Amino acid sequence: MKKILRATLSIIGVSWTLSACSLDSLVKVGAPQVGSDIDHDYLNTKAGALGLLYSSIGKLQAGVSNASFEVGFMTDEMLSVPANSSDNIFFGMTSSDTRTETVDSYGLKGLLFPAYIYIQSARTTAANARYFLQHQSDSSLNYAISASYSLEGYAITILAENLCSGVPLSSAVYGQAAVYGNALSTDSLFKIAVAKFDSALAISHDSIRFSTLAKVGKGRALLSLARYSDAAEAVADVGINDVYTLSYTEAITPNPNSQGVNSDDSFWPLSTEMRPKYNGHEIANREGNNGLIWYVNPERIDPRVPVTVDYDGVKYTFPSIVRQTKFTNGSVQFKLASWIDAKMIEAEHLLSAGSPNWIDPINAARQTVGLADTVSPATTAQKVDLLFRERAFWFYGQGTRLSDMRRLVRQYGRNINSVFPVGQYNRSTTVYIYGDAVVFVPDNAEFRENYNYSGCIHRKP
Amino acid sequence: MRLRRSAYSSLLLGVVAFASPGYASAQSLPGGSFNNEMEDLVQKQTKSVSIVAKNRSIESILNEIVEKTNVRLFFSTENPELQKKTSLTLEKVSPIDAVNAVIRGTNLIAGKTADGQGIMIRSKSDTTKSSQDTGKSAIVGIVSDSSTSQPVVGATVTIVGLKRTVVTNDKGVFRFENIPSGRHQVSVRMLGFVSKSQTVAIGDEKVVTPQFILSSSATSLSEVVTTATGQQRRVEIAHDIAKINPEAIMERTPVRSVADILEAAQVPGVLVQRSGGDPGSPTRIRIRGIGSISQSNDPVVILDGVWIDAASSSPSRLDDIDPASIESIEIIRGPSAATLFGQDASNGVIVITSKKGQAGPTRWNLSYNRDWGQTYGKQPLFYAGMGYNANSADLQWCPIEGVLKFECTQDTVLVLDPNNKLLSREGTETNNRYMLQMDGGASNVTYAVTLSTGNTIGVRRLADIEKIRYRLLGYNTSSEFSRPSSLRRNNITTSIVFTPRSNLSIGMTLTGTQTNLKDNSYDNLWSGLGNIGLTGRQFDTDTAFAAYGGGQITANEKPIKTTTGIVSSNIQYRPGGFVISGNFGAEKSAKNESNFGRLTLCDFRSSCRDTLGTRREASENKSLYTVRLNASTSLNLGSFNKYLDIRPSIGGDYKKTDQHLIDLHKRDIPVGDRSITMGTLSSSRNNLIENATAGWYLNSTIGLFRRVYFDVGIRQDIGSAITSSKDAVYPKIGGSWLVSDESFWRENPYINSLRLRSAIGHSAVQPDLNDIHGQYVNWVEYVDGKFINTVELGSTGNNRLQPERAVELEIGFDLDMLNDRLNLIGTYAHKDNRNTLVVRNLPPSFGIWYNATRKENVAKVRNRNFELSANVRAIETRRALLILNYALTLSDNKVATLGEGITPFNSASSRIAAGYPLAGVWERQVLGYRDANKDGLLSREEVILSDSVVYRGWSQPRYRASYGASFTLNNQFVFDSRFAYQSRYVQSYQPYLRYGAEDVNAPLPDQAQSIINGLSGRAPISDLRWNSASVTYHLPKSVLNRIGGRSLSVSLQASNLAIWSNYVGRDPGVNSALLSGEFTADNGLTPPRPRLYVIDFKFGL
Repeated sequence: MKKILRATLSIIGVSWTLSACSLDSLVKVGAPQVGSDIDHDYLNTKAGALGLLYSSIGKLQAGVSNASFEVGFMTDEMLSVPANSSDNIFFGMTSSDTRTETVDSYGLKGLLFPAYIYIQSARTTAANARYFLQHQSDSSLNYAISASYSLEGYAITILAENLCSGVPLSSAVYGQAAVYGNALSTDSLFKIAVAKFDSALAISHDSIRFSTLAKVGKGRALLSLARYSDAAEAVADVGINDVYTLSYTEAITPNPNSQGVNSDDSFWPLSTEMRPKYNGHEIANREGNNGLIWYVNPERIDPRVPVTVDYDGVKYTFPSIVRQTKFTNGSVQFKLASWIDAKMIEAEHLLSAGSPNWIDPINAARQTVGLADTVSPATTAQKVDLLFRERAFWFYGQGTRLSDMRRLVRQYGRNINSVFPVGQYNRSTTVYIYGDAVVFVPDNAEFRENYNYSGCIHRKP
Repeated sequence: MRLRRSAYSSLLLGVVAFASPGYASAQSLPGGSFNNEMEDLVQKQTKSVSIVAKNRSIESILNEIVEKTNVRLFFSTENPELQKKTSLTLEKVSPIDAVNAVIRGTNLIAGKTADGQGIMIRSKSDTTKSSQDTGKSAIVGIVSDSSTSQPVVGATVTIVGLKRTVVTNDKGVFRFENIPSGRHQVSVRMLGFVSKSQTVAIGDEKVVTPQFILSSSATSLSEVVTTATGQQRRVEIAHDIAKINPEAIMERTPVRSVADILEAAQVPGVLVQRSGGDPGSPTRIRIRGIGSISQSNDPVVILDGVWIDAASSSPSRLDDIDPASIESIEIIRGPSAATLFGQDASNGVIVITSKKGQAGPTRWNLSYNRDWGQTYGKQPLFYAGMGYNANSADLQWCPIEGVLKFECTQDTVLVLDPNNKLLSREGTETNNRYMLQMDGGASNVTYAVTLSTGNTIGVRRLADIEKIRYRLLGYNTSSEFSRPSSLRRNNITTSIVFTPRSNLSIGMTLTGTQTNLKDNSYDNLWSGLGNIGLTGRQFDTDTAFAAYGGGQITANEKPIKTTTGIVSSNIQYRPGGFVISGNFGAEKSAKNESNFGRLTLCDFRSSCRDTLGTRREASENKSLYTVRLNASTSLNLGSFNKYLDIRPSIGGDYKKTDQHLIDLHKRDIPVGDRSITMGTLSSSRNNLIENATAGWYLNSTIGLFRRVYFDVGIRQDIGSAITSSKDAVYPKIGGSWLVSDESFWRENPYINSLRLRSAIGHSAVQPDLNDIHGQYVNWVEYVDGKFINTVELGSTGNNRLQPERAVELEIGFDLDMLNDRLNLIGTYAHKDNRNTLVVRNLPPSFGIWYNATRKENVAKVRNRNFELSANVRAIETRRALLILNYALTLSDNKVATLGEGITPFNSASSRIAAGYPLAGVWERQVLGYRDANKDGLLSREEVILSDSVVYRGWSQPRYRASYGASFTLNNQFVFDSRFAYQSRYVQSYQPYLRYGAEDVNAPLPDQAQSIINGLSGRAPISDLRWNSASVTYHLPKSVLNRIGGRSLSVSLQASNLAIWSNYVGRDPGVNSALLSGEFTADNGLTPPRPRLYVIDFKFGL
């Protein structure tokens, strides 16, 4: 009896040990490969991990292009163009252009939705890229790890700049539990972004491109936190030739199934050539009473916002349409972070500190495109106006205008109705009145599917 | 104690008189006379024997006599006389002479047993000892098994008049003391045996020694069934296991597949669903309902100890197994029973055991059967409104919808009757099947081989009118198109069992299957003609209807070839009191599907022309490897073993699967070419999925007083898809109580046995590996001025997924009564599927653009089943036997909760909503109609439909019942008939009864009906199906002996004879969308299962 008991206990002990350790390796198999799935082993290679990083860049590009487009309409950068003279059929930009964004059953799908999901994708893909890059244990990839932080930080910054207070950052990193994000305030988002940029800068400075991205991104986020001094410090050593560029092309993309496709992701929609396909738009002076005067006349243009007159009387109602020519087609080299950003941040810091030299960085920037120096106005309000006008011209169509207009309200005490387009919207035979939206909101799918999210904390600037 | 194969022994041998009644009468005779009296009898029955023994124990020599002569010899192995040594030489002497020679000079004498068929050895002193010592009357008897001669332990023996009851000991002996003189009725009852009574007279003799030889009963709790730890008596396990004898079923009903056997067996709780009447149509087996929303609800299938792939597919791997090669099928229902079978067993387990050989000369079995099948019920009529419009003088399609839109004016309504021979798309199905089986072997090696081949030509055919039309156009239709659906299947099953030592056996079974399924049907062949009714047609005034769409015919070839090989080996080693067994096996299957399509357009009045072709080449290779180990023992508790019987087991298993799928589509193959290399790539897929699982378990059966049994076990699993092994621990506990063996039941004259049982257990279904891992996909991005191959996040996966856990409580009873003529088995099962996986949409903040879903363990599904089966031997005489079978299943299914934040969602035709069945069918309903403009026509706007979908019912039958009767006459003729009833389920019907949509004169209710039919056309139904009828003739043994055969039978069988139903379609039991998902119920245009007529010959040599 005792013998049997001993034998049984021994078997149990051996089995338990086996089950606890070696059997784990027995049942370990490769990750499933389905369709165009990547073999997970490939992700553990340098090429695979970098493939994720490039995907993040691609998604950020797509997000920036879509966001820039939407921001242009929401702000005073551009107006939508009616399809013809006899009806009110617009190219779909009415809602953004009239600041009447509401969350309905469709949310903002078709408007900011692509931008929202692309930017979120840039963020989560960057985090995944970092996971696999870190597992390479290859110091030559430090720049890429740094870049992954920068891309994440930039994505978060763009979300904070353009969406309401209360954006979720869900997380799905390989090997970790998926986390449904909850509503994070605008300030929280910028702080998270700053931390990401700090991480980027702490790892490697061996790539000027990516360090420029991190520095400018950090400055941009700090600017929104009204930490002007810190922002200036962040961009202090950005050189005049330092730049991080996003690139777009209209060329046919060879997709993985060997069939050419002109991906929506890869070209810049805010172009004249893209207009017929992607919503008519034109540049308008004094949009909604408060808008900037972008041009005096087509012959006397600011080189930063070139325009042309399109006499397309056949298709459009209006005898002439003034369009920007900064982006003439879908293939664009777009400076996401550059010395100009650094100069603008430096100027804002000096202005906030009451320095009489605040105008110097602005003039230094203007000189690069042959513009004459400007002089500092007398009053603070005028100085602020000048600063933001300079920013608006430098960054026209680059998706920063909404953030600047929000900052004017949030950080400089301006009244919403003195900053955003207001009054009658006259781009249609039907008279519209501008709405009161000053932010975009996450897509309705976020409300439906994210059980940790119940909407914006607030929709103030 | 040691027991000989045909010997029993008695500890009482030296204490009390011990003999059969006949033997007692011989006791007064001198030993020599006694032996002489026996000689004739025993010598007649046994052959002579030669023995050469030198200084060997008497017992070993007696054993040798038994081995050489097969004489039934009874002696006590504990009698010290048997250990005495002796030497002798005997040559060709009778068994009794040999026995007498061996025991000569000892205190032993030999006598015949009560039935005169054996020899009993006892001490000379036994005959008088008891009476001399006690001076009282006693009844001391033995109980043995008629088939094995083994003692029957634990049998209940009652002196009816005295109400005294004892139980036989482990030697099969019982004893009553102090019995008054007179005649007494003594009855013996034992589970698994037919009860027996004898009148015992006590007169002058102080001790009488009756003997009871019990024969096995038809249904029995003592039957041995398969559990995860090996084989056990049914009475010892706490759940119900259904055991099916395929051979018996094949004798009475047409069987081509395992699914046919399962359906014909009508096991309560087991549902077999069909996808259509074509050869090789997939089947789906569900045991005690469905519990998973997104995972497989398929049961686990184990063939000879190893797992095999049993997922529903076309053709089904399960159906690849040759029914003729199967010895038995056991259905283990629910987690309470399947706990120890491990992962994915919560949907039940089907254990298939293939035939093994029997020692002896080779036995041959030959069979041939031929089927003829025809669909029943009329094909629905097609209607087409025809008319004119302002732009054309040609007659054209003009349904009510066209009239309502002022597009045409209806002139006439054409009616197409596909039942017309010229138009019919259904012919006679034929099936030929040949089978050769042989088995035999020596005492230490046996073998069995089954070879079979079968070919089925399905009912589908090209309508004659189409054939004529193509012929007129100069386009020949090959047989591939004339009879586009067929299945050829070849099987070989070989089994070898090697027993090198008495405690070691090694077995191996090889199963090979090759199938060739052709499904060359295409639009014009089947649904194309349906299009005539659905979408109108061209009309020719000279002849008849022509196919719509320009008369397409396709050089469409769609063969699916599969080759499957299964090897399973079993090693069983029994050292000491242990039984150690191992199963090792592998299944490998290769499936190749080649689909070539070259469309040929044949305009009605012009010639045909070919267009560019398409080709699909898909190959799927699967492998499944199994290792299972188990060690069991029976604890030796000394004298406690009388009351306590503990049999612990420990075991483990390992399973690995890999599946590789390559799927290539090419298009634009030039006319006249067939090669896939000539086309341009349309799409491609290359999937590689591996999965491995392992688990171990502890289990113990604890028996108390031989009538109460507890079954306790626990299992732990790990696997590729289990991320947290602590969550994968599955316990079970069950109890079985043989109430009828309790003293308060023993006097019941009607009930032979009653067993109450209850079990609760956990089991699981694993998440897919895809659900765990994030999915990353290839893409191309334009970055830094150039295109770069990138990697995109395709899905998050969920590495916190747990297995879906099923917990089942099962309560039931097994009742044998009226001399075992009525057997009832009833079970109630309550099964909760917890942590059920639900596919949840991901919010965009995860940044996943393409497949933004992931699974989460959030839902809970509840199944409740009541199962009752009854077996009645209504007539049982020497010449006639009538057996009636009844089965009843009441099912209930409900989604208890869907999970926080998950709103009800739709899946195909069903809707998943808390509080409703998982496969509930929902649709919008017609609330009314009103011909507002009084034009006599109803538009969609004039029919009032409900705003949202409403629940219509469950897509699976809620109530099911079956009835069967089998009548055997003179052991030669067997008549059998079976019926099945099911109700309370919803079946859809793709209605092409377009009368209400085509004829402007159709009554408004028909028009309204047409509109709702356009939406779906689902209705709750019930049906009674006459499943089968057969008559079988067995040639008598006397004739067989003359012709040298062992058995010969001819059977005429018919299946699917009739359906009585309120279903408006043809076959409510067909779900053509079976492979499309659990929750799709659709009859479509699928041909129903044909009514089969079979002639079956079987010859055994």
